[in-house]
Amino acid sequence: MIKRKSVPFLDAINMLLAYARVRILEQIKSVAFIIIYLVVFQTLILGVPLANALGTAGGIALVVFGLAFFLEGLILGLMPLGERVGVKLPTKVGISIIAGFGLILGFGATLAEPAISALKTAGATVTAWDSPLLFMLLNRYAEWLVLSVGIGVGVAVALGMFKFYYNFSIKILIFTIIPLILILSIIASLNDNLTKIIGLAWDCGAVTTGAVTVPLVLALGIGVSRASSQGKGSSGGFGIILLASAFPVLAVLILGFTLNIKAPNPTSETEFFSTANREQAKHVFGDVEKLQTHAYTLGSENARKAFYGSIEEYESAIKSLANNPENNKSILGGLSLSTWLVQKASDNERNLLSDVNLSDTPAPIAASSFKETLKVETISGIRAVIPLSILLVLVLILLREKLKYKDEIVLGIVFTLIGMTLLTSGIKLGLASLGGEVGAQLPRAFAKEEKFVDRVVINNFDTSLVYKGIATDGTQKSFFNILEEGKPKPIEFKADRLDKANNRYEHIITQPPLFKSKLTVLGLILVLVFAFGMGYGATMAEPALNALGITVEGLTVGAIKRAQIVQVVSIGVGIGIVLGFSRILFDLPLIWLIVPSYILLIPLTILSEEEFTAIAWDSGGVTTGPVTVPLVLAMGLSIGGVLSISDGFGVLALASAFPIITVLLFGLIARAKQRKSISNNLKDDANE
Amino acid sequence: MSSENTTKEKVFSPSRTVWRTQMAKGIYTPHRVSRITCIINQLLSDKVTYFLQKIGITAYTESGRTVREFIKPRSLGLPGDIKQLQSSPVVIFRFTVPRESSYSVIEALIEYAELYIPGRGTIFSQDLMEFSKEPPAPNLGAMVNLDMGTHDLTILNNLAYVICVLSNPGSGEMLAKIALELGVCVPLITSGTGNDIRDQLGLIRITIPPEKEIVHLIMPEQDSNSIIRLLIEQGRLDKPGRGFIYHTPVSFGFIDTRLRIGKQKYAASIEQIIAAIDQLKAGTNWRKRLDAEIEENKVNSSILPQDNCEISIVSDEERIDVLREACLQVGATGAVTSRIVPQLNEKESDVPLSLIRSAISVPANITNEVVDVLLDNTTIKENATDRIHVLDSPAAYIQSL
Repeated sequence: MIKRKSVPFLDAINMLLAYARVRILEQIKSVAFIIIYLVVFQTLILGVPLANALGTAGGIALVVFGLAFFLEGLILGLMPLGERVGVKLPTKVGISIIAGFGLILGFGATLAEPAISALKTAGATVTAWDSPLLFMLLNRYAEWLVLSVGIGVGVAVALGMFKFYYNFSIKILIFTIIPLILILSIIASLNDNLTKIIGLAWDCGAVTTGAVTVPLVLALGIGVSRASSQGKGSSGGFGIILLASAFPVLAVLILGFTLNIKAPNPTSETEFFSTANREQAKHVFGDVEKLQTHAYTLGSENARKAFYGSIEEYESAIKSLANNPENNKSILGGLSLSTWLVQKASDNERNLLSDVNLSDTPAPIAASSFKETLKVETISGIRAVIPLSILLVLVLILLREKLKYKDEIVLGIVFTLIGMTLLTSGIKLGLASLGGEVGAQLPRAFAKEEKFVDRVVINNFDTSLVYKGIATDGTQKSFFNILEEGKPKPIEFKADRLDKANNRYEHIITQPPLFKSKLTVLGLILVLVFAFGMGYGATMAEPALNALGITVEGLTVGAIKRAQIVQVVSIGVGIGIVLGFSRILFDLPLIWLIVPSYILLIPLTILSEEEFTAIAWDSGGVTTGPVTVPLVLAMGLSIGGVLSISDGFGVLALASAFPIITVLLFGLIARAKQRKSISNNLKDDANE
Repeated sequence: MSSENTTKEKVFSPSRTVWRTQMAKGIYTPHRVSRITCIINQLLSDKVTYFLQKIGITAYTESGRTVREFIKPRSLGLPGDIKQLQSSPVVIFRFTVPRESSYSVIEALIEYAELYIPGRGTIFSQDLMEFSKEPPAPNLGAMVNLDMGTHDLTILNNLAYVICVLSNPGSGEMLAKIALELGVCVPLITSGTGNDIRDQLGLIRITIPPEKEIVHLIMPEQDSNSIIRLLIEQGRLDKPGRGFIYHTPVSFGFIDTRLRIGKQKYAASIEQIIAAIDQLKAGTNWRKRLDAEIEENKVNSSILPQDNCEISIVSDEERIDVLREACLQVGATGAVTSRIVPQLNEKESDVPLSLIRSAISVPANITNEVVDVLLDNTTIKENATDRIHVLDSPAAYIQSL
């Protein structure tokens, strides 16, 4: 044994401080852009002060520490572990066992990092009558969806193991799988029901490759290809992420095609909830109670009328809401009655329930407490990190392999866990709320009308307070003064808001559109510019992308820098998100955007060299991680909500497609430069 | 030019001692061979692979990058130029041939891979002692069948191969920049790992990155001393824990002269002029640097050169760990390992496709012991791809902790 040297305590502290400083500064740099961007955008352009600035700042600090811990943990623990397993497997067992291990790993990783919650958020506004199949996938068959995505990832990792073992070209895989899913998507786009799930399918592909899975699978691939690739020119472990993004799309499409056999077709809202359609509707929901909740939470008055069949039954049901508060929870899907009345109910229904006091509207649900978030995120962090680590260690034990730096690897896994927990809680507490705030304000940029903010009921309204004002053209308007912090503020008086019987005036607080109503084009451009910057900034902070960058830098001995890869991918994600939001804003079919971008990829892929092809296609999969997804979803939903678009799917899919294009272009340009430096010489030589 | 003018007679040569000792023992026979190192642009590496397969030589490749100055006019029509560093990926081929055939192999490879075009690569030969299963036996006859031209080649003598092993991330780039600014050569940067200090520590070792950057420089021997001192000063290598530099002699070599790419102002670049004069003078003696001499007097370096010996081992990952530990036992620290890929001449199965090369700069006085423990633990008799190379390193600048 080698003699251990002990480091004096003070020196050790100094070493640790220096070590921590470098890593934390690095992460501060990587999140600085997105944070400054969001704050500047909100305060200077949208002109809204920051709400809960302290909490947001705390959340951001957590994100920085989380990223530093997470990345360092990957480098110390999971990546060396994965690589070790990858190197050892081919020397001890055959390819079938390796592939089997890949299958389990891929499947397990998907179940451990369930991205389905993110997808459910994106589909929160999906209605059962517009897109019954999509609704089924997200609700009644959500487990099936997760399982099929898991199978997709498992098959992908297994196939990846084959690829490294026999070292066949990644281009063959690209040119068989990608056209297959494109054709399936095109076929799906011809069916009213299936066309709605294309976005979900492609987003599943983008989202499933999580922040733990990607580096682990990359390291495993590097190991296997190092130990077994026959001949030269192996792509050094890249290519699995691509497969793991493509196969879930295939799996979800297949699941969609299967479920579509029984699924009802999209119909009108009234017809869907009508008693005649009950059997079909039950097929979507499983039971009637859920159908009822759906009618109350996402349906309009018509839906509820159709649900109860007769007007009398409908009215008594609405009235009973006030009398049976215990039942409301299940009927209103967790909303309180007053919230429901303010947000969902029609005027007619409000009249039916006019005796319910509106002024006690509870404040919007307070952000979940720090402790609670930390607890939830710790559990999901443990789920994401521990089972996979145990699986790898078990394999090493089965192979009778000894680990050289056991303590280091354990420390690495602990770091990963701490990092994951801090990162995701920090995002929930800080970054996402900041992103959500900006996202909620953004629709104002292109809105033509004033935005509804809140409703205040003024009791004991005295009409004698109303006075008149006159414009230069002689038109008159009525006003009254409202006291805000003791100071009077003139408000326009609208006679139809006055409830004379109860002497109540309903004051609706609105925010004017950011630009005058005619300038919506400028507003749209502003939204798209914002989308680009947000995609770019969030991707720069993505830990899986940084892990990929480190791997690329190592494999190319620094000829391609990590920063370069991160930049190029971030620009790609920015472009993709701009296109994704254009889809939401202009309600374009997703297939119109996906098919051309992948067709553009074909010549680029043919021209590129093998190694770069694999890196480029893999960077598509790593981009959408724990930082980007919540931010993009928050923004997409608020915009989609304003425009009443049924879902926010497709943004993430496009955000994964465009980095492939930018990275391939980057590779082609770099190679052209290299060739130029040689060919220049050839010319000189010929001149001599 | 001829190959006779090889390593100068040294008063004391550790590798010679190793040779005598091992010959006397008679268990392992050292082969006196020439190791050829060919650093070539990645786009052209297939040609070298093909050439080596034709003549039946097992080579080991490592990836690296060369750094050049890239000069371009400033954008927006502003006056002046911008100097940037531009990296291009290269492949380093290392293989051994019998000493007598090394000159002809180098000549043929320069012609075949068109290395005479500046910017494509560098190739050089070093005489050393090799322990392996079989001595190298290239089929030189096959070279005749290869398609190649005949050029007037400037193969230089009196070169030095300077290797800088650096611990701080990013310092490779810095040293490469200094070398470029001094006009020494096109620096090559590779990466490796050094676990020696880490292995002696507890968990606090995570604060020390195991990654090392290795800068390889080929320069005229007469300048090597002063340039090394400059590099030590600029890279602050006299501070402990930052890295070390050593130099090994080169018998002869052909050097890439293209230090700059991009905009060229004159009919011939300064590198082309230097190359032409090198050719006329048949050597680099005329280029003795004046500034370096002044620097040499100025620098009051705290480290003095040691007489060392470079031992490099090629083996698989597990064996390397055993060998490295054995080296540590006898006090040889500072091993830097890097990943290499053997380029086999025929389809040989059951040969590992990834090997490790570990290079150690060993003080001359313990060289013999180190070689002994290495041979005790080695598997060169079983594995055809295993190698141990012993090479004199007349000046090593190592600041110990």
